Amino acid sequence: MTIAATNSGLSGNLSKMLTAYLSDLETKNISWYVDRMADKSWKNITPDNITPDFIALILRGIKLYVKDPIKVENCKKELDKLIISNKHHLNSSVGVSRKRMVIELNGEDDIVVARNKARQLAEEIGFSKTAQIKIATAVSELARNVIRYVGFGWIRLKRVSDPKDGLEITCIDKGRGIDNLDEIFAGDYKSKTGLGLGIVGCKKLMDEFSVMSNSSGTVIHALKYKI
Amino acid sequence: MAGNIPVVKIYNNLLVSIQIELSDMLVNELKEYICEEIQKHNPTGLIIEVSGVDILDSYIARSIRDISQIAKLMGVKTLVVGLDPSMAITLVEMGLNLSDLETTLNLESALEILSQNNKNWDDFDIETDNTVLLKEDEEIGI
Repeated sequence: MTIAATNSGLSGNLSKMLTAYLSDLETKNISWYVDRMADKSWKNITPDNITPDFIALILRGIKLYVKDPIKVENCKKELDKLIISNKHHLNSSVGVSRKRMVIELNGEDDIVVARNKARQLAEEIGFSKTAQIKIATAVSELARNVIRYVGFGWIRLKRVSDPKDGLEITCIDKGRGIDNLDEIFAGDYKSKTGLGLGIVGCKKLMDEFSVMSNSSGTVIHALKYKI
Repeated sequence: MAGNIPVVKIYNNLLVSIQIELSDMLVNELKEYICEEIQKHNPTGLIIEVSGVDILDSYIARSIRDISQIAKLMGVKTLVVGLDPSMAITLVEMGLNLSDLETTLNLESALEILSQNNKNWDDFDIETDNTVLLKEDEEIGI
């Protein structure tokens, strides 16, 4: 499932653009990334319904998998052209803030990325400054746990409005699970590397918190309401 | 990277002003960097200014506490300055115990406390010198 496999005008342009600047492996990686991050409908994207989110997603994929800054710059220019040519459509979606974002956790630097995005989204939603810091800190703790103990995972940030305005954090990893969960929540567990407060601290900062963990992975779900 | 964080000598103290996003790696680098600077400048006090830090989570808070403990071992008193109210609330609500970390509200009071500290030492030095002198005087028989 690659970008080249789709036959709409835009996707054709896209794949041409990507293969003109990037190697086969890089194109494949980016396609894989876009495929995984976007929802199912992305293959139906045409020049008429391209969204800024989708372009941003491709750009994120390029930044993630292409190490050469010149190549990244070239691709960025091409994508900018695409944005300009689609401006009549894009203008209508300006001002609509993104409802959902997924941050891939690959290394320690992604902890910083994740907490910054969380803070940004919290600000957009209209959380108070203290709540913004709390949310960003909670995301930082969750992301660090993933990086420390598993090494790879995702954090999804989502704006919710039902029943109340708020921000939902979902942290997913495919590690071997947390086996001493009771011990951690009882406060008995002290980790060697942190203050032993990653999960517990996060729980205290959020309004709703749940952990599902088994031997094939962990999903942590946290919610903070605006008021 | 940690070299980008300015370390300024002010009176007899080192002032470290953290104005950039702290990644885990950077915090570790900073730890070593501050130790080297302490050895180089031989200060009596260390001031860590955190008003520019974006987020203080448990790991970064712990690292700053570690730095203060390391500095203490090297004979340097550490003061943390400029903690943002929102960040202070968050740290307390998380249940972080940072009671062994000394803080002041602003740089001015930090410098005051540290200069008080220096003064006490100066007084102490003079007194001991005097007593030594007196003892010598007695021995000589004046």
